[in-house]
Amino acid sequence: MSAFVEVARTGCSAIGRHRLRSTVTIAAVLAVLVPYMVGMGLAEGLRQEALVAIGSTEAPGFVSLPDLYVAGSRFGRRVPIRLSAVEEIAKFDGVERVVPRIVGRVTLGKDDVEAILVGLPVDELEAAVGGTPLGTVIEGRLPRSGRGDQPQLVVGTALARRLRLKIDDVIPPILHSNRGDKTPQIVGIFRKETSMWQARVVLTTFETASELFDQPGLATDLLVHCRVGQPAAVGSRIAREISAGEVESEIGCEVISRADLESLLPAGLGHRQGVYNLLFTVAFAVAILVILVTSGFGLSERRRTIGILKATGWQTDQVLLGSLVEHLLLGLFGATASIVLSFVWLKWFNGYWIAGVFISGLDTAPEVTVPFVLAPVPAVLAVLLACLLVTVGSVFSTWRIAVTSPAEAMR
Amino acid sequence: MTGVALATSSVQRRYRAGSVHEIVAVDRITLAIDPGSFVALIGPSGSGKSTLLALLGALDRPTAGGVRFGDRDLAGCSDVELARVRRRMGFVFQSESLIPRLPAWENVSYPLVARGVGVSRRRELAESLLDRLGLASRSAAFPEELSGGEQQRVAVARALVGSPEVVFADEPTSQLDTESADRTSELLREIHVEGTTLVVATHDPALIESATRVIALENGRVVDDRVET
Repeated sequence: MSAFVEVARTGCSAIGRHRLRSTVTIAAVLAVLVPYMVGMGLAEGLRQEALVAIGSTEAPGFVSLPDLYVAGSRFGRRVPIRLSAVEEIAKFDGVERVVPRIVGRVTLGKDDVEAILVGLPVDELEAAVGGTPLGTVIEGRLPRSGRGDQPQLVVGTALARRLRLKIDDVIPPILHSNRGDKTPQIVGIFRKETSMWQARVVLTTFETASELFDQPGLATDLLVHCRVGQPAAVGSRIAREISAGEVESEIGCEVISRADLESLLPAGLGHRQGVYNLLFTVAFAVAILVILVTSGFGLSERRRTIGILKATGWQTDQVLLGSLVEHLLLGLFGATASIVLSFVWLKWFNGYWIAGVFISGLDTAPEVTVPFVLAPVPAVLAVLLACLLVTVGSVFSTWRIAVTSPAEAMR
Repeated sequence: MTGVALATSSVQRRYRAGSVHEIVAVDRITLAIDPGSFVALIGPSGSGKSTLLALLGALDRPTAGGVRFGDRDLAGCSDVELARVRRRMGFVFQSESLIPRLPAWENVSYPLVARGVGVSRRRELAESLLDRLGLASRSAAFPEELSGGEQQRVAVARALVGSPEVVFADEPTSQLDTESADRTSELLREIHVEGTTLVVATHDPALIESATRVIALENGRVVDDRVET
């Protein structure tokens, strides 16, 4: 037992003695694990945000989200639904309230910066941005513009920064209407910490959105809030009885439940994670080769050292134990450093550069707070991978030398 | 006398050189070495001195024949058993036999790690040996900071640290200046006087003169074996 402890101790002290080798090994671990940890952290962060967005997980202070999303359907594609359907659906048993929504693509500024314009009824806007104090979500105030008024907008962080918008700024007309262009006024800007989804959003009232798109009497979709246990029944009744178009049965309805979204979300993220894991496996295999090559640093010195150790009474298992302890510690140190570095990169540097690699549309310096969750499972996996990576690369070459005769090793 | 009897019976060691050539480094040598003797293996380069030394010291396995250490047949020993046998031996190699990144005292004490000796006791033993060999002030020096003679004395200290029954030395003075060579030879003579069996492969006349038995090799065979009086 004491020999075991003493050999293990020499393994620890070997880390400091072979500084270059230790540094190269840790650098290789960091090069593999940091992108892995950051990628997994961002994927989990996005998933959590998406779950909150579809109401699967309620964020603290946020109001309940719709159970059904109803839109028109034509040739298998989603099309707008008539506004009058709101009243009809609201009368169905099990329906608590129906909110019409307009979601459309617009471009802003001279550079035609793309944005998503969302229009909701005035009394629903506060609920949409959450029950938390408004000041924590938006700087400024919510829009109150009605039909015929000057459009009032709340813009996302990325848009505000890109277009250098400030509260009370008046911007050129967004869309050109037959009824005359109107110059919108910025009344609020989303705070960057709120959510990543707000970055390129323009929030306004339903009436303003309807005017801007010049689509009176239509909504992109209806958000249906149901009583507990009722969404399925309500959904099938809507699909059966509601026509999306003004002419009877002209356009059918497409009803998507929150459960449908929940089932789509993991599949989509799982697919992305699958691709990511595949890429990571390739990187991992390459890293093993790299470490095998770098472990060749000072190989002749190591051969001779192992030969001397064996000549002076060290057993093969003791030589291996020393090497194993040295490299396990290097792996643990590398993994810990990777976790800390990933956290620092995501938290303090807001995923500078790397977030843009994983999330399309983000700039090198993200204008929003990137969502991330460093979950325990990937962290534990990182530790295991680091230990595996380092020990496979180094203990194998040590073993190959250690099983040869001392005379051969020292030759 | 604390030595142990060594013997070989028709021991042979062949090496493959290239795909077809085979070198017979040691060719069917049979000899017995008495405990406490001082044996000098002599012969020209390539005569098989170092190979025979490696076979006697359990650093290499014979291709044919046997080697006995006391009553133990080394050919039948497992890797672990061979390691334990080596702990009863001490080795002084030709050159560059110190671990470069360890200070002198750690180089001396490293064989004791495998035996579970604690670091403070190891240091104590190593420093007392270094003191005995006139290297007390060089205890913390790294091999690159030591002269060739000092390195070889550290190597001798390492060979002695485990209180070996046999010490093997492979041309211990060949790369040293005259003064260092004389000092190393003197040390080896002291080891022998203390009763340890000593087997030295050498060209050094001073060492050969001190030996109690001189075995001459040529082309892997014993061509002369004489006991000095």
